[in-house]
Amino acid sequence: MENTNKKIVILLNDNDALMSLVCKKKFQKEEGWDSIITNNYDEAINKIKEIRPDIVLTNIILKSTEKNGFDLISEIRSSKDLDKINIVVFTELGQDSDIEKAKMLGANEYYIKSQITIRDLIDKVKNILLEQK
Amino acid sequence: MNNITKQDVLSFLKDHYLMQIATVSGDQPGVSVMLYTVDDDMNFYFGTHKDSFKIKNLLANPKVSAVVWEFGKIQVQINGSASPVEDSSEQAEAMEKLADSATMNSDFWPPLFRIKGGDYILMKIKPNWMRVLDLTNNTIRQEESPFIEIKL
Repeated sequence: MENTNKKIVILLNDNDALMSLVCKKKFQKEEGWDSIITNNYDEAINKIKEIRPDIVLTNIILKSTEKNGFDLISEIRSSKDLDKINIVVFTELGQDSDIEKAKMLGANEYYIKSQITIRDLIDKVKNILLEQK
Repeated sequence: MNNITKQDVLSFLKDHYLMQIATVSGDQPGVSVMLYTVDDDMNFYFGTHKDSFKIKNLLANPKVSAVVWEFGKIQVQINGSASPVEDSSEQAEAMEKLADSATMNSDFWPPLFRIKGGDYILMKIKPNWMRVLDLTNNTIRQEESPFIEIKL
């Protein structure tokens, strides 16, 4: 098992704290990744600017703000300092238009929660990290 | 096994993450398998869909029985009373520990996590009775009761 020793910011769960905790613990236990749970949009973007993580894992629907995951992708991709950060969407939304929008804005990958296992998600994130090396 | 202590039981419970829990609807018992965590005072925590039959049963009658066991080790039986966890700091602590329980086995993904955030409810069981069954002895017959009541 390769340890990437990279940081991951997880924003996806301002609407599901338990899921965020489980992802964080699985990432740490199974891959040795450090994860930071952010609880709203502003906290996430501030952490991203501060830490420059390798991966941002975000939901589209955010309950804590009027902004959403699409806005986060746009803000990251429009910043010269942040635009190399990988963005993975992890969401309940499964419409083609949502997927196309996220990809058009610059998301690297888009996964629908009801169609992917946590193991597959970890493997896909790991592949992104490995390809980046 | 007769010298088993409350601390031994607590360690066993912390090393496990699934319990069978019985609730009642009228005179009809129902059993479910649940992800759980336990605190140092032997209170059990679990989460489930807020509209599940378990929750309907427990809100009407908070009495509950549960069991955690492992072949070759022990079986822990409890009776107690269940109530929703409403304090936010207690919720946060319970969720942190449930996440630990959920990640004990890398292949495990309990139905709880398929429930959308906001659709589940966290419950606490305060036991009022606890009994341990020794499962380490495999002699054909036994002379002493293998049950040990744990004082709470």
